[in-house]
Amino acid sequence: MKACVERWNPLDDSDPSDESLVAMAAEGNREALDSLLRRNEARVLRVLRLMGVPASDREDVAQDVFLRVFQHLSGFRAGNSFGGWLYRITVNASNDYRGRAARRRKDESGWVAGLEEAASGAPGQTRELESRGEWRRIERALESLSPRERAVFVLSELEELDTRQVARALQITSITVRRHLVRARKHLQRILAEGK
Amino acid sequence: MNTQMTGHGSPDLDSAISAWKNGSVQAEALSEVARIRILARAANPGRHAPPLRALFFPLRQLVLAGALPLVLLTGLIGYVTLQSLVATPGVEHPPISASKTSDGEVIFKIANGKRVHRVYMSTSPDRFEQAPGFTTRDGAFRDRLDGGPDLVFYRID
Repeated sequence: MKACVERWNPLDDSDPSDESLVAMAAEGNREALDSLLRRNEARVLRVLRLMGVPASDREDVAQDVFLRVFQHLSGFRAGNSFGGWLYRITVNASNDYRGRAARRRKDESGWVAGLEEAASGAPGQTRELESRGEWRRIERALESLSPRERAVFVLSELEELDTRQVARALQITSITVRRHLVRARKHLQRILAEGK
Repeated sequence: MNTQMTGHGSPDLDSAISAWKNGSVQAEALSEVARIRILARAANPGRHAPPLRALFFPLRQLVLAGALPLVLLTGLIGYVTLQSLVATPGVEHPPISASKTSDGEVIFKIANGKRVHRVYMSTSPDRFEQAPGFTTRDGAFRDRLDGGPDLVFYRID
């Protein structure tokens, strides 16, 4: 059930918040739609990459994310965080993708190939990074986590959300967030230490 | 702000996280074709509508079909009415009525002279302190039934 207790008033045009853009976009404002897209595409693509979507499919999954968002704009609850909502949809989309991929029996080399493709600057449009070796270490290690632990770790440690924001985004309790994070950190530390 | 659990016992992990943050500066972007496609479909959902697919659970399709909101609404009205009947010393429980409109909204009216109230919504009756609050207008507030969690609890102060 979506709320509309206080009608959301657009902020000053010079720098509207995501939430005010949502209200305008829900009323059909195409500029607001475009602004929401441009403002959040990097975040969505980054989280999809961190959640294991290879570069070859990342743009398609990102399109799916934004279409889901735009189709449900009118139901967005005023007063809630658009970013948290977007993270939830993105994580769900990445889990859906990985579920479909597992059902198609995609082997792990596909993920690695996607990573190589991303590092080389191919269709995923990821540019080369200065410390490629270290960057790849953490992203490889993420593959060993469960989907929920991975989502908690990505949102907490890499996207730098606080516990409450992560809990809201994933619709779990703060205690569960902390538990998953502790477990994920222990697991990743072990993997990285073994990989030295 | 994030409270990082860094420090003892995770030197390799902390180093890898730090390297990732320092190294992954360049942001990915959608291609222009992808942007145009998204905006076109967003602007014309009827023409390009994808197959109906539940976002979270298949149960949501029942919600959209309209069957479940009536059940939930009935339960919700009962809950709200019960709460209003249980008097707590020093706490006001104004009578509340709810009605569903034809365009997918439910309107709650608080019968105590249009006083201003703060409304909190949560998916759990134990977690209102974490929920954002809203202010009522003219003794009423509205909620939509076409998305989000299937069950929502309200607290009215």
